[in-house]
Amino acid sequence: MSGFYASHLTLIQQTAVVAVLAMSFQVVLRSGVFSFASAGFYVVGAYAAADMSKAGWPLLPALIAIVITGAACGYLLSIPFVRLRGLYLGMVTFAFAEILVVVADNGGSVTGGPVGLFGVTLEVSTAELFLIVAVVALLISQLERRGLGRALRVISIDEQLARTMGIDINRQRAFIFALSSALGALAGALNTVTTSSVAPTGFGYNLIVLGLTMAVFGGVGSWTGAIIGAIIVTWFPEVFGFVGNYRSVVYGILLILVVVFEPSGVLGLIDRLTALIRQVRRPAPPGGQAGVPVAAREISAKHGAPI
Amino acid sequence: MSSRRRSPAFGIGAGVILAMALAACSSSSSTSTSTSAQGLPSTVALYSIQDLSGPAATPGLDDERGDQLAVADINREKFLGSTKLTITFGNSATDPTTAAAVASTVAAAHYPIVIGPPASSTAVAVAPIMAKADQPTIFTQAGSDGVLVSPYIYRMTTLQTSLYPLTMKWLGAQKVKTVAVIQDSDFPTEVQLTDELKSDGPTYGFKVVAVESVLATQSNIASAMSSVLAAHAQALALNVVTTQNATAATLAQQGGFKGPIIAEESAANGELAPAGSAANGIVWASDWIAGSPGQVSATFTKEYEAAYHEVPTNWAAESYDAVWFAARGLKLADSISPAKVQAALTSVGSAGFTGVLGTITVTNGQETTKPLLIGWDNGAQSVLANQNP
Amino acid sequence: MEQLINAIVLGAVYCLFALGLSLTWGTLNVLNLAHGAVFMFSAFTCYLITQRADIHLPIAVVLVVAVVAGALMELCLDVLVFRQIKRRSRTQGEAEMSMLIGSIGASAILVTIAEQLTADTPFTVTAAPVKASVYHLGSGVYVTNVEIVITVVALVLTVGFALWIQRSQMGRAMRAIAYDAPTSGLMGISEGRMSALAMAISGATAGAAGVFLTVYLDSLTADSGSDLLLKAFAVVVLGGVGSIWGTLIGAFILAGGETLVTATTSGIWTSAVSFGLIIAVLLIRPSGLFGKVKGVRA
Repeated sequence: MSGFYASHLTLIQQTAVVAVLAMSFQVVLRSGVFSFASAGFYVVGAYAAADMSKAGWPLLPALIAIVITGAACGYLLSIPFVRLRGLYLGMVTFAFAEILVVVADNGGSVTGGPVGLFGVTLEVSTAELFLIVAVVALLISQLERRGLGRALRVISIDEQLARTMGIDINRQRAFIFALSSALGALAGALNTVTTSSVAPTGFGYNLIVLGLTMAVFGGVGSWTGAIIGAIIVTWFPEVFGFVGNYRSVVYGILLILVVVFEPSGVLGLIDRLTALIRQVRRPAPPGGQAGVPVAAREISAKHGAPI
Repeated sequence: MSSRRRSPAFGIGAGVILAMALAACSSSSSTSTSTSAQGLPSTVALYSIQDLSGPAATPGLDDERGDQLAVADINREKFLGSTKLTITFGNSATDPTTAAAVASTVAAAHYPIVIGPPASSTAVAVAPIMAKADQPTIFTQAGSDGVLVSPYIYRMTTLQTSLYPLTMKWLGAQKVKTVAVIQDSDFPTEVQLTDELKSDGPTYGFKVVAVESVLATQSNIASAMSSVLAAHAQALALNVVTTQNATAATLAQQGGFKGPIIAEESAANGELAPAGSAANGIVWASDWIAGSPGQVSATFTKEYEAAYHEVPTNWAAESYDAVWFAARGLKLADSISPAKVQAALTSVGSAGFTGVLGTITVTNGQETTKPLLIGWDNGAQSVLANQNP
Repeated sequence: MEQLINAIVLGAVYCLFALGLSLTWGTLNVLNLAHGAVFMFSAFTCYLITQRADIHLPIAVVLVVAVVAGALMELCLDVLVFRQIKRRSRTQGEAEMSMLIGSIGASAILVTIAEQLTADTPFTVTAAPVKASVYHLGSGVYVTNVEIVITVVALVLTVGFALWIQRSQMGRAMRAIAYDAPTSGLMGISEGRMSALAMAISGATAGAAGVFLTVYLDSLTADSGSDLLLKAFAVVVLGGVGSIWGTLIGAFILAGGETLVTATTSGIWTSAVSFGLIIAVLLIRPSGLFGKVKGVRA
């Protein structure tokens, strides 16, 4: 097993880093806020980590500073944009992420221009990475369970109803926007410290596609979906290596299949399976509606889908 | 709500562990070479990480072929006595993340020598991992900073910035006073070349009067070219990649430009063909093309054409020389221990040897060879008759 | 002055490409991220026929091939992916997001196939390069026949299309679907048929754009579509989703802005123009210049 660990170290660490990115997408999508701003803050966090490393910051203070700044900036950014709905919010946050890439390309010595920055001395161990992921997951799971999560759930299903219940929609959306931005910044910083470098490639549109597919693949309904999505997407090339260079074709087909047949992602599939197993073991309780599978009711009650 | 939540999470956790265990069982085990310190084993396995897909696939695939041909020749000539070389290829797909993953696996397997990918982005991802493992690694192309980060790493391609002075010398000999440049601002090598042109131009008698930037991914460079032509310089410098060379040449001709045009290695290997007659007369410096002088060069070209039915590019030639460099290192070291191999490679490099690219020396991990002036005319590239303008 | 010609041609290029995107986004509420891949793959299909299968065709026939290929591809996308998603989705939002991801998947498939079969080298649509005739207009200003053709075709198609949508019965049916699909369905307009038509038209314009651009730029690579796709976002947002006139105006504004930035600066900020425009428009007037207001702001 240790041979496996050593030879797959990069993949294992990468899984942790993108899990944070996936969660940054998952929290907003679940709440119906189509923000891709976390991809933009990923860039900010990545370069901030490199510059702070050069300036001699130790790891934990740097990460904390980056997270707090990401949250604050995210909150500020949300003010003009939070009213936008659906794909329009997606558009503007995508443009925000892409502009940051152009800035990074032309950033002179702060960003190292097209070459980027190398030799980042800050390091993070795999154990620390997993700890960070666990802390983030815990935070999000608490949010999901407590009032905020439920409020966001109601908002995503029916805004009118939410307003009637006294939920301040725009403030909740701004909060989740800020959270997503903070997580994006954290993911970017973690990426820099695990790869020891940062360059303006792979950001922007491609990063958004990555985050989006991980979140949707795994299931937007919960943080577990984000983690599943991160694992699947990161290990996909490894597992499907035998397909050779046409791997991305298989990837595209899988994406389409998931999105057509199970919009709730892998989580939805698992739910269906567990419900099916439960149904097989225990026949429907008396008084249950005939013909309506228990599974269907359970799924729509629990997860819903990205809205 | 909470009881229902726990079971999927549990199931997921179990599923994850199961998946990773399965992947662990299916992943390849480490190399079969023995770790004996004295003498070479009967088989020495090399690993070559190449960009076999993605934007750098063209040099990557050529590298693969050059590597294979070299291994075949080394074995046929019994260069390592009774020891046979084998080589395995891994695909870094011009993606830093994939490259890092492959590198991590390869580094843990402790091959005697690893060949690295050509794209700067993937090379920079692979280099630190190899450095940390004290893994002797030989890159070709990979011209950016952040590659030669350890004495165990070598780069067997002459840097373009070392080839460029010859181009500038040629331009100076054309008696032009002003040059306008179009460059890919997101491509480090191109920016470095432009900077060299700006700072060293006066030495050759000209100065840069305009620099227009486009992105390497940008297809429409018409307005940038118009700006370049509007500077009314006597010469043009194309520091752009792949198809942009042909597009720029076409646009220059359409705009009525008739002066000398210089380019860099991206213009080689047929990239200028779509421009037709607009590209006639374009000059650049390279480390090699098929038809370069030298016996080893001629033999290599003939063999390569026989094996692969196409004319070899400088990428194939460089990788051929790189594997021969590796073999010479192994022979001198007479061992597969990393420290001995590294010392031997350094020795071979400073002593110099003759390869396809001519006389090759390697200093501080970096190869130097003699630059050649190449010209494009009537749909073909050739070594210019006058190499001393 | 030459830059003005550049801007006009660039605008025509953007317009031709963005037409399809605007149409499907406005009518079907689907942001089809595979549009760029379809554009590229239509041209790639021509490459396969004229250079891999060695069947030499005149450029006019090549154009027809690309148009048909593009239309078929987007039609398949509609029937095999989008329609299935719409059928099974519970809410509008879920459908939109799912279709977005589905189009990403489709794009990955097309781009990878083209990448592998061309070893990621540039390809052309005809075996011999198409030589452009240059017309010099004095004082360094010139225009080529290719540029003229592109501009004319783009304008004709856009204007024709706009009029068709406004005046013809089919056009009105399509607008009805865009406004309220279920009610239109009750009134006898088949959403399925309209969406198929919209996607086919979108694919056809992508195919045409593919051929024109390959000739204009000398060649394409497998990822040429993604660069244009991002620009098309700006065009559609600026002009207003679903408005054909908006796409036209938006395309020229974007092209003009980019050309201006390139001409007056060294060009390093040109790519930021499209993104800056998106942000500015969505901040100030989210419906764009001519777009419908419904479904954009709270």
